[in-house]
This record gives sequence, C-alpha cells and structure tokens, in this order.
Amino acid sequence: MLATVQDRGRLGSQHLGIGVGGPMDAHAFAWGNRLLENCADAAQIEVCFGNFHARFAATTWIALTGADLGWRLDGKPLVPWASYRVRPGSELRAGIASTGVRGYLAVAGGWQLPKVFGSCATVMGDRLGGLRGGERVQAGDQIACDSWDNRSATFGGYQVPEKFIPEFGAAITLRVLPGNQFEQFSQQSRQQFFAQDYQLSNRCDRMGCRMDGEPMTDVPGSMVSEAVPLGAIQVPSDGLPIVLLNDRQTIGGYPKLGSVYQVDLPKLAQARPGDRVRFVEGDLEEAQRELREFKQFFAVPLV
Amino acid sequence: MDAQFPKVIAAGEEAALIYLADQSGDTVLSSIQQLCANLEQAKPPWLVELVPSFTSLMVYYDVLQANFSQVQAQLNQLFENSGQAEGAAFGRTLQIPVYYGDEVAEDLGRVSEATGLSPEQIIQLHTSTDLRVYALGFRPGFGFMGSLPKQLRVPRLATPRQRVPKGAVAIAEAQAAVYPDVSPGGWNIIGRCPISMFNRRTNPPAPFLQVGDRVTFTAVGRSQFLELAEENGGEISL
Repeated sequence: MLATVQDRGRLGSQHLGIGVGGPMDAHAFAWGNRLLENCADAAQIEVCFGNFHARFAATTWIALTGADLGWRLDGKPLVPWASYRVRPGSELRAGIASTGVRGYLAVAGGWQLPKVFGSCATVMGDRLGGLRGGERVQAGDQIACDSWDNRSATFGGYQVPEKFIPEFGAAITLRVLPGNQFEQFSQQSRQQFFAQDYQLSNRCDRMGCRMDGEPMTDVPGSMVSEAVPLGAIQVPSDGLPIVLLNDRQTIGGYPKLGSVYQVDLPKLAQARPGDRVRFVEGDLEEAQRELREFKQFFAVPLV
Repeated sequence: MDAQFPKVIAAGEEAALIYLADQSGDTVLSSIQQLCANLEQAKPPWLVELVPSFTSLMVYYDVLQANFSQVQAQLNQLFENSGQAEGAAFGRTLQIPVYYGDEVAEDLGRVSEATGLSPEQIIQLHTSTDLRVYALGFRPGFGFMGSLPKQLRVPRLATPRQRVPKGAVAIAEAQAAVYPDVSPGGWNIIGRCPISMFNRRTNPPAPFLQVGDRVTFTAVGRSQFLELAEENGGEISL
C-alpha cells in the first residue's frame, strides 16, 4: 500500500543524477487532470492497491481514474473515470483494487506541494519531491489544494467515455522498440525473449518490473553506462528482463534490448505479480505515431 | 575520431542516443561537452534535456516537435560543425578533502591485500591522480570519476553493502566516487569526505560536481575533517 504525490515528473536534471518520477500510468493520470480542466502537469495522488482514507477540508472537485479501488464518498460507492464534488468534512475511502493496481486521485487545480527542480513528483530513492523530501503520503498528512472559488460556477463534472476506459486483465502484450544493444544479443536470446510468456515477478516497484520465466541463454556482458530512457528493457546476467520505469536510475550499464512503447506502459503499471506478459517486436514509426497521437489528444482542451 | 562515430540510435520514441567512442577518456569527454554546448546554444524546439555519460550523450526530445530522422540529421550536422573539440577549456578544477582514518576506511585493508600496496601507497596514489567527472548518476550528485591508475584498480564487493554512509569515499575498477547520501553500495570504501556531494541544506539541493570537472583528492587529518564537516553544515560525521 503506497500512496505518492506525482506530477508529470522532474525533467531537466537527469544530468545531475536526478531521476524523473511521475505517474506510472500516464494515461489514467492524463484523464484525471482532463476531467477537472486542470493543466496537464497538476499533481495527483497515485494510490497503489487501496486502503486509502482522506477527509476534505474544502469545497472542491476531485477525479478518480485508473484501477477501481472500490472508492466510497461518505459511504456511497463511486465509479472511477469520473469527477465528483466534495465538501468540507467529506470522507473518501478506497477499499482494495479488484483489478489493476494503481488508482489516481486528482483534485481541481492539483495538490499543492513545494516543487524542487521544477517538480513535486515523489522519488523516494532520490529523497526528492512529495512530502518531507521524497516520502510517501502517510496517515495524518495534510495536503493543500486550490480553492474552488476561482473556478467556473458552471462546472458540472465529466465522465470518461466508455471507449477510452481500459480493462485490466491478467495477460498483457507489450510492444518493443528494438534498440541499444539489441544486435549484441544472440539470435537465440532474442527468440527466447519474443517467443515466451513471462510472468510478472513480485519484484516490481516504481523503479522497474522484473519478469519471471526461462532465462535467456546468453546475455552480453555489462557495458559502459549510458542514459536509460523510460521503458528500457535491461537484461542482467541472470537472463531475465527488467522493464525500467519512472523511478529508474538516470544511467545504467546493463545491456538493453530496447524499450517498451510508452503508450503500452500503463498496461504494465496496472499488471499484477503472476500476470502473463508477452513482448512483441514493433517499430519506431508506429511507436512515435502512437505517442504523438496520445500527446495530441491530451493537448486539446475538453471545452 | 573513429569513422563509426558518431552513431545516433533511437533508444526510445523521444530518446536519441549518440555514441561518440568505445571507451571513455578526455577526448570523448571534450566532444560530448562541445556537443552539449552546441545544442544548448542552438536550442532546437524539440530539445527536452541532455544526459551525458562516459562515451555517449542522450538527447531527450519532444515527438510533437520532431521525429527521429529529423533529430538525427540535426545532431549529425551539429557534430560536423563543431569540428574537433577544443574541450580542454571545459570543467572546473576542484579539490576534495578526504580523511583516510581506520575508523572510516572500512575497505583499505582489503584494497591493500588485493593490490599488494600498503595503505600509505594507496593514499599516495589516490591523492596524486588527476581525475575527471565523466558522468553523474546512481543517486543525485553521485559523480563517476576516472581514471584511477592500474595499480589501484580493484573489483566491486561481491556482496554490496546495504548501507554506505554519506560522504564515503570509494573506488571500484578504474573509478572513484564520493557517496552523496546514505545508500546501498558495492564500492570499496577507503575514506570519508567532509563536504556533501548533494547539499540538501539549500533549496534546491546543490550538487557539488558537474560532468567535466577536474578533481584531485587531498588527505586531511581527523581534526581538520571535523572542522571542515562543521563548516559544511555538520551533515557528515565520523
């Protein structure tokens, strides 16, 4: 059970060894801000699995997206992927996710925390952002939000159209942009990588997700460290791939097969240990086109 | 420079990685710094951020502003225009004080055994080598400094420590570093530095090192260490 404050992440300081952070499910996060007419970078609370309880001290609007954590407002069930009005004294409770992993709690104007290196994203390993220098949200914390008074009186909330709401199943397919040391892996290792169903290991966190399965027979040795992008697939000497995620280190020296399409990463963010994971080979043009479409979609205001 | 370099690859939808050499060294460091400077001056609208490492430069860009082939073409052009790097001018010259006392130099004995050098010889070599910062990574402010002389090169610990103290001065293979914060770590600890490599008393925190810096370590005694630690906010103790 982990709740952290996240905005889009800490860009511009990776050359100092400062990591990015940001929402693991960028799709759910983008909808959260869109449902409130927030700016795209407004901070939300990422709640892992559930067991979250908050009391509001102001009149405002919230939005819930991502995994269905069994949210209730003053006892009344709320479906996610919609915005809701809250009043002073309103109690919001999450149960336990029935499917998926991460739910997002957005608030009108965004949760207000001090920014460091341009962001309030919580990166626990870097001890930056969030509360108390990189810490998670804990019982007793008070987090400020904008006053609703500044916003339109005609705002009536939104729901995400059905067709945009993803289903979280027990098997996911991740498309891969081959790159980096791909050519240095043997033909056999590459075949093993694409031909098998991996199982998501329980060694998964905001830094990365490890796969269980049949180890690749031969893996290139470690190499000169280079910068590591979001979604990079690194393979340490044990032959089992790790997909590096938001709280990854900025540079690393394990060989990489390439990277997972960014638009596919939300599926991984919502997958559970034991779920089946399959990797398929993609290409740069498709990966760039789909990411461009995603960014363009959320760049256009709702109203 | 080798004909196969620069080599630009797509490391992600918004990540172009430029390889400039096979092995790290002052020449490639200068080329990377020169390319960074050119890019920062040219300010192409697609540029998000630059992350240098030992032999490569990662260029993160915005896919709404350019696709890979456009970025690749512009990077190659910027590289050609920069000509041979005159990077000797890049980088500050810094001295890092180190206390090598037994109570903090946990692995000095192990390094001595592995290298056949006495602790005095190890300290002598460590303080007489001119190092460059090739990359920052692992943790905020963690600078990878190289290259140590061959006699001083030892492998990482077989089992990393769960907790390396803030300020630990350590070596592994050809590299030296100072741990900016308490963290796990597998390098050989040979001393402690009283200056924080990531000063969290300022807002925002201040990294002490930058890529390209020229660094030498200087031996200090126990009382001098304590004085310097005090002057630097008392974040690091013995």
